[in-house]
Parts: sequence; structure tokens; C-alpha cells
Amino acid sequence: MSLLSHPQAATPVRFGARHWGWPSRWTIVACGLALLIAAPVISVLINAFGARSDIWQHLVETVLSNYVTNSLLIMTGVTIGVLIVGVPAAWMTTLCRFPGRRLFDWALLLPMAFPAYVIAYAYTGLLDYAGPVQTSLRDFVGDPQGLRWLPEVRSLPGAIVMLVLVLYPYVYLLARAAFLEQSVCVLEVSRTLGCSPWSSFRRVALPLARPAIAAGVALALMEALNDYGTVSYFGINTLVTGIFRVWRGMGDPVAASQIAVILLLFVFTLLAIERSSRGRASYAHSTARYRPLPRYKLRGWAALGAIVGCAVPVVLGFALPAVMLLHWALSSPEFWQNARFLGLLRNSFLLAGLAALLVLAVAVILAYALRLHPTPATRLAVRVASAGYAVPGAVLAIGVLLPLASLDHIVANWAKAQFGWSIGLVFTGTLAAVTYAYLARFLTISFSAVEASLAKITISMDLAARSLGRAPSQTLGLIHLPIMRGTLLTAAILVFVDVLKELPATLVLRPFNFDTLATRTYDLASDERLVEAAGPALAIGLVGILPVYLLSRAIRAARPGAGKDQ
Amino acid sequence: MQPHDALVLQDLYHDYDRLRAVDGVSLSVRAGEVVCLVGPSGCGKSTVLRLAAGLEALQSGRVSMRGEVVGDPAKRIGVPPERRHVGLVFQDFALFPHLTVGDNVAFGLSQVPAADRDKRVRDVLRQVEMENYLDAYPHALSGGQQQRVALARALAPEPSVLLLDEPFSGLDERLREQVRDDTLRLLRRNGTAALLVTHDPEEALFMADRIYLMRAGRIVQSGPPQELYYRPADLFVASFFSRVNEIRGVVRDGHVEGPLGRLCAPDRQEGERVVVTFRPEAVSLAPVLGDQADGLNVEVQDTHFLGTGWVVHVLVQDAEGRDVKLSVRLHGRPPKAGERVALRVPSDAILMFPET
Repeated sequence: MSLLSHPQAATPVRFGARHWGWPSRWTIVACGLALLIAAPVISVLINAFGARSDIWQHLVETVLSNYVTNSLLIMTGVTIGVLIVGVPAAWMTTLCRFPGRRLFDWALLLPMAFPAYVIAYAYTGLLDYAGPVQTSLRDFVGDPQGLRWLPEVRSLPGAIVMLVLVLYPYVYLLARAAFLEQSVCVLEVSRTLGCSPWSSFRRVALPLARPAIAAGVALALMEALNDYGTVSYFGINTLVTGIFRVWRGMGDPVAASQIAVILLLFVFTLLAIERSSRGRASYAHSTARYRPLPRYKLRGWAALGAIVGCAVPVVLGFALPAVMLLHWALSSPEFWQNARFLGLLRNSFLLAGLAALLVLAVAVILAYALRLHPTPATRLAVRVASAGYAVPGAVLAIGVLLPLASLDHIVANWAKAQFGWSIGLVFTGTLAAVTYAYLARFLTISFSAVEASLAKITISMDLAARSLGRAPSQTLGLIHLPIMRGTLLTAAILVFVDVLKELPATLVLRPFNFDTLATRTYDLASDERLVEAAGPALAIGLVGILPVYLLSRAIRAARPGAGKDQ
Repeated sequence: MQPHDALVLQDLYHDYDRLRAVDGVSLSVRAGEVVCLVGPSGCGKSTVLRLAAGLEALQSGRVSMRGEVVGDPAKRIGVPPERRHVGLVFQDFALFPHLTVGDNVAFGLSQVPAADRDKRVRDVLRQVEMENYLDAYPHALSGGQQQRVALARALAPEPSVLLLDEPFSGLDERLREQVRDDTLRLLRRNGTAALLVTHDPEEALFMADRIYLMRAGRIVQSGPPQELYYRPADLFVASFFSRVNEIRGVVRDGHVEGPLGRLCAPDRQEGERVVVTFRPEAVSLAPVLGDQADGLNVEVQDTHFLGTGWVVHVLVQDAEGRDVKLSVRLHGRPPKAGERVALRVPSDAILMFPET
């Protein structure tokens, strides 16, 4: 036991502080970064509570309940949907054996490639009155009025379906990881105590995986609440569209901030659920013994059921919309074989690359500060900074733009008064502003990757390097960064792709006339030019496959004792 | 404590939150000396090593190396680890996985001119017989080879003192003995002062010129290995280095009555409860001739073969009539279970401690 309880493994490093009583430079920098990242949310709060809005009362009396109700309905629907699709798929691919299982293992992640609004456009085009489905059905039935019974895609249930189709992978991933990590011994014991495979799933595996599943649902719901593209295209009023309407349409940033606060309440409740579930998930391992999973071989109808159950989400969430978009894109190549399209690509990649580098740098600094000085201050800083992924893009947009706008105002007035210059807008509508919003929103993804990778490097490495004459910052450059190369690349790619897909913050904060794939797709779709939107939408999806590939590779290598599976 | 001792720790105290991990530890390592800091796990020995290396901020006390104070919070001195000239060897070796063996060893030689550096790297690697692995990566090496490279890396900058934290625990038993032997020889040849932390009493006895035994943050006893083994300060020290037989008793008229007879207890107080101890290998057994037993007449309970010898269990009664099971280590053929034998313990092998 002494090997395991060796203090070296347990105690964090606290390197000899040279100045007693003063926090280290790393801690100060970490706290500064955390403050910077929390600033948009703080500014929303100040706006919401610091001023009076003329229309707030009016909103409360009229549309606010509609916003809240719709957001709640979407959350309820998405919860049910992702559970129904995600959990059985995870169970079947981890603990059963059926034809195509290894394909579905990773293919079930494919729907993550598209943002919800892109498949919303695809399905609208597919199922509209003029779309191929209705047209051919009409031809078949021969009655132009005979298809009234078909459900309308552009509706609240339609939006829920779109969101479920792209968000279920969160639940699938986390449930899958939970099932894999469950010790086989526990399942085997339940079998020897008289449980059938089904009842051992229900009574042992599912309860053990419940915290992980809850965390997955919470993540999916945060994304659902963040969605702007789908609901605004479908004409559904939610809290996010409400922020935009009140702010841009009615020109009342205070009331918009107040709606944003309501949205933040929702989101932070989810964040609390997610964090506490994750905390509990780590206690769900009763033993540390792993053996190859005994997969139940499914035959006949059961196997067919499993194949259909896994194939439907992949086809609906990825294949069908991809084919539709590809069809449009190929049928009218003039819309994407031109300089404008190349410009979109360049803008998107520039923005995403810039954001990925910045986010990565900040993530490394925070993670390393936490490693060097796990003091309460650093811990708090990291906690604050890594809550950003919960904050919806719309809230970040308003939280970044309002203070920058007033700063611009002050600077412009000052320049005018001091030098008589009209300098215009310095901060708003710049790449810096939009990159800043991305930093706040996407830091967590890359921070958790860096932190996990850093944790795998034994503290002895740091100590060895220090005793061999290198300062902490040199150690970071000479030891940690080279060892973490692969992770850093992965973390950068994840951020890169998320930036590419991000819509609401980009729409608001981008420089004037600066179009990206996402904003152009949105604009074209809003103008009902779906065929033209296919090119940029498809490009987003193609890049979106990158993280799917990385994830599928990571999960394949993830399980101790999994070995060569059947 | 001489001024040129390689490492001197004076009155170190260290708390983790409210837990006192190190409670007034002082120790010294002279030039060229191998000192072992030994104790059960969690006794604070690793913390002492980390304080010496400067890896943990010193809270109270003083650390000096070669006569120079490198850590003293009272005087606000805290030389960072990278400027203390200590070598460190870890249980997990901590070789940098992205660097070759040669680059690992050269890592601490950044101050050395490039030409000399190469020579020094080869030289140190030759000493640990790893010069053929210059361009290999750590993952391609066996555990023993990794340990040797780790040692070479720590020795290359010629540190004032080498600090080793459980350096052999990661190796399997068979290999460990060989590597210990090689390491010790290398330290001797280079005249390197070393402080080795271990939980393994046998390792401490094998390696050390002097041993400091720690318990619950304090040094319980220090001295050459034989002194700690044969003249332990208390029952904890006695039982740390090997199993001891324990018989409880009470001091009456300066003596303790027990199965071993009436033992002299000159410096014990009247009525004090004591433990009489002796090591299993100090006992001898002889056949009982007729009913004349030269020693204590006991019945053999059971015998176990250990390969290097036998362990025999016998049952005796202490002064209060309680059964006490004694262990006896024998090299030759043991008596059979149920046989009666005469048990003898030489008086100089018997130690007496107050009951704790």
C-alpha cells in the first residue's frame, strides 16, 4: 500500500515561494484571466440590475412568459429525446454484440459534425411543400391537398427534433464511457445473484451510470438553450431570440440583459447539476478491476432492433442532411465555386485559428498555474474561467458588446475633445471583440483537455527538471509542452471547429461586412436561399467531422483492459 | 554538525493544513556519506526530502548545504530548487519521455559548454553501463535501465547532495538487490553525499552509513545501522527492523518475573509495566534430555519452512498466566510439532522497554 499512498502522488507541488505572503505571479495572472473571462457575465448583471428599462414591464405582461415556456418546452423535449436515443445506443454498442456494432461505435458521433441550424435548413428544404418528399408524395397520391396531415417541420416539435438529432451524442458519449468504466465484476456479481441481462442493466448498470447520463443531459440542454439559428429560423420565441429581438429590434439593452439574466439562471442550474453529477460519477467505481466486456450476442429480431436503433440517429442526424446538402451544393456549383466562397473560408479559418491559438494559450497558462499553485485563489479562478461554456453565445454577445460600446464612446469623445479627432469605433466590430467572446465560451473545452493531459505527467517530472536547474516557465516549455503536443493539437482543433459552428456571438460581434461560413449560411437560409446556403453549410459539416474523428479515436483507446475486442 | 556538511537540516516543522507532517526534524549528511531516512509510510520522511530540495516551501527551520543557508523563512531565505545543486531520483524515475537517454542526462548540464557536456554525458552513462543507449528513448528501457539513467541524470551536474525518494520501490524484488548494490558502489566511487528516503528497513540497513528512523513526524533514533538494530531506543525501533518476540511483565524489586526467569531491571521503576523483547534468530532450541531441560521447557506448536531456514512457533505463559506465542528462526532441521524442547535466549539479546 505504501506505493499507492506515497505522498508524492497525493500532495500537490508547492514550489519554494521566494516571497512569503505574496501570491505568485502565476496565481495573479490566473486570477486576472478569470476576471477577464467573467467580465461579460458581470457586465450583463450590471446592466440588468443597474438601470431601469422602459419596456420590461411591458415584456413581463406580454411575451416573456411565452419565451420562458418555449425554452422550458424545448428543454423538456430535448431531455426526453436525448435519453431515448443516447442511452440505449450507448448500452447496445458497449455491452452487446450485433452486426455493425463497431461501425456504430463511432458513427453515432457523426451528428455532432453539424450544428442544429444546418440540419434544420436541410430538413426544411427536404420536407417543405416544394421539397422532394412532399413533391414526390403528391405525385404518388395525385392530390395536391392530400398532404395536409404531414406535420410542419418549422414548429416547436420540429426544433426539438433537430436539437435532439445533433445533441444526443453528449449523452451517448458520457453514458458509453460510464458503461465501459463499470467494472465487469459488478455486472457479473449481479448475474450470479439472479439478475437477467436486462434486469442487471436496469438494477445495476443504469443506476451506476446515472450521474454520467445526467451530466450528458445537462450539457445537451446547455447547447439547446444556446441555440439561436434553429429557433429563429423556425420562428419560435425563446429566451435567446428574445434577447436579440428586445436588444436589436426594440433597442433596449437593459431589458435584453434582464432576459439574459433569466437565461443565465437556467444555465447555471444546469451547470450545477452537471458539476455535481460529475462529482458523483467518480464515486461510481466500486472496484478497479477491468476485464474484457462480456458482450451479449444479439440474434434475430434483437439484432435487427439494435441495428435500426443505432442506424436511425446516424441517418437522420448526419447522412440524410449531408446527402441533401451535397445534392444542393452539386446541383448549383456556381454558388460555391467562386471567390466569395473562398473569402468565407478564409475569414472563418482566420477567425477560428486565431481563437484556437488564444484559447489554447490561456488554457495552458491556467492549467499550469493550477499545477504549480493549487491555492484557493487559483482554484477559484479556474472554476470561474471554466464556467464559460455554459454561458450562451447571445448572452456573451451582449455582455461583450455593451461595455465595449461604452468604452468606444468614451474613447471617441475623449479623442474628439482632446485632439479633435474622429476616430470612430476602436473596439466594437473588431476581430478582437469576437475572439474575446470565443475565449470566454470555448476556454473550457481546451482547458479540460490540457488539464487532463497535464495531470498525466507525473509531478516528479517537474521536480526533476527543477532540481536540474530549470525555472517553472522553462520547465513548461522544455518538458510539459513537448510531452502534451498531441493534446494541444486536439484541444486547438476542438476550439477551431466550435468557433466555425458558432452563430449568435459571431453574428453580433463580427466586424462589419465580415462574413463567415456560419453567418453566411444563416443569412442565406433566412432569405430562403437554401440551395445557396448548402455550400457553406456543407463546409461547416466537413470540418465538423474532424473532432468526431478525434473523439472516436480517443474513445477507442480509452478503456483499460478492453483489449482487442471481438 | 561541521560547517562543510553536505546537507544540514535544523528544526524543521511543516504542516499540511492543520496536520503536522514534520515535527522538529534535524539531521545532517556529511560529505561522501550515505544517510537513510527510514520510517513507516506517512511518517513525513518524503516531506523532509522535499523541504531539503526546496520543492516544498519551508515553514519553519533552516536548511543549509555545504555551509550555506539555502532555506530559512525567519530570514526570508528560500533558494528555489533549480539553484540548490541537488540531485533527485524518484520512485517512478521521472525520465523525460520525449527526450533520448543522452538528452535526459544532458538536461541538467545547460551551464556546461557544449563540448564538455557531451563528454560528461558519455562519462556518466558509462559509469552506469548505459553508454550504448545514448540515443534510446526511455520507453524502450527496462525498469532497471531507467533507474540507472535516472541516477546518471541526477549525478551528471555533480550535485552537492543526492536526494533519493524510494528509488528502488518501482523495481521488482530480484532486480532491486542488484540495483541497490550498483547504486551504492557508484555513490562510493564518486564520493557523493546522499540522503535516501525509504520505508524498507532492510534497504536502510543495507545502504546506510547512518540511519535516521522517523515516526509521526519526529526522528525517533539515529546512528549507524548496527546501533539501531542492536541498541534500539524503544519498542518501535526494535520492532521496525525485524519481528521481535514480546513478553509483558511488571517490575517487582528491580526484577521482572517471566517465562525466561527472573530478569534484572535496574533502571526501571517499581510496578512499571514493561515489555521484554528478543529477536527470533537470537533464540536457540535444544532437545530435552530426560526431564532435565537446559532452558525453558516448551512444546513446539508448529513449524514452517521458509527456504532460507525454518520458523518454529512455541507457546509459553507470561507471569500472569497468559499464553504468548514466540517465534524462533532456525537454520538446521527443526523439531517436530508436539515435541518438547529447551528454549534458550542469551541474556545480551534480551531488551526491556516500558510498555506503550
